[in-house]
Amino acid sequence: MVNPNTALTNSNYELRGTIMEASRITSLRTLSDEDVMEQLQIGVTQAFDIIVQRYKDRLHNFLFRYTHNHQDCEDLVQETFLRVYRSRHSYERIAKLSTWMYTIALNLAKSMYKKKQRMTKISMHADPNDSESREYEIEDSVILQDDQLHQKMSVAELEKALLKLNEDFREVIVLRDIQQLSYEEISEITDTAMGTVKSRINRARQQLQDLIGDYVKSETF
Amino acid sequence: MTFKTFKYVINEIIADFSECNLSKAELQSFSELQDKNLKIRQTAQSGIRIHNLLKRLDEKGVSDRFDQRMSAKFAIELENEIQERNSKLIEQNQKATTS
Repeated sequence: MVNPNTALTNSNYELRGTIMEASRITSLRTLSDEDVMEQLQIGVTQAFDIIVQRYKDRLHNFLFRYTHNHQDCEDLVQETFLRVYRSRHSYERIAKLSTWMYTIALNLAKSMYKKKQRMTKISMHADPNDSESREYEIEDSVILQDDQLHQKMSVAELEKALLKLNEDFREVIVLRDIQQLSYEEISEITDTAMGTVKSRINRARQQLQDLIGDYVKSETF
Repeated sequence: MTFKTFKYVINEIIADFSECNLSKAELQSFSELQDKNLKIRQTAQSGIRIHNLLKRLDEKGVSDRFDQRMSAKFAIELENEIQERNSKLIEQNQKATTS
């Protein structure tokens, strides 16, 4: 028979444990990325969840430009996080955590892309059943006409054009214009000199303009 | 002392122009340069246009099931880590008892 006093004590312990857990997660949430990583390095596994919550959408948005498939992309994001965990002890605070994570993600994306290229041609997306394919709002005057169909086509063409870019150009332009990282971070992630990064970005933008030229008027601002 | 090449400087200016990061004075000088050089003008115009278009691309976030799948994968990762640690300990103990 269960002693009611013991049961009460056990449930008190459980409650105390839950409260401590909750307060630990709350305090982790207030830490910088690098401090959260430090906690993960000393064995606080809850820190992993904080990192996942902070970066899952950012990494997904980045990797989607390589996969163009949500399932593959999510697998890559998850693999990135698992690699972050496995190599947590090799992270040093001299680099920003985000830079380190993007480097891991980029390497994974590159190897996946090479594998896919070997196996099959990458299918251009535009899946009508894809719930993520929302309508885009572009109010820029550079769009030829105002009609929504044209705007959607421009964006679709831009997404397709991104896939056609050479790998070196694509990675820098995605990191800069979509992920909005600094030139310093991009230079570190791609292990490329800053001047080369800027030059590649300019050339990538020019190539994209050439690729979608028919959809976007070239002389209007 | 290091000197930046003309190409390097132009690349920097075009990149900054595309992202509206030039000062008024720089913008004025660059506008004059664009009037003289059609290629630079085209590159700069493409830069600003594509930069603005890309910024407007829809963000592609994870699905609702992401967290659940991530937790499951992480749990397996932790389990594997514990098993690996345990087998190392057993190995060490075996070595200690045999020697």
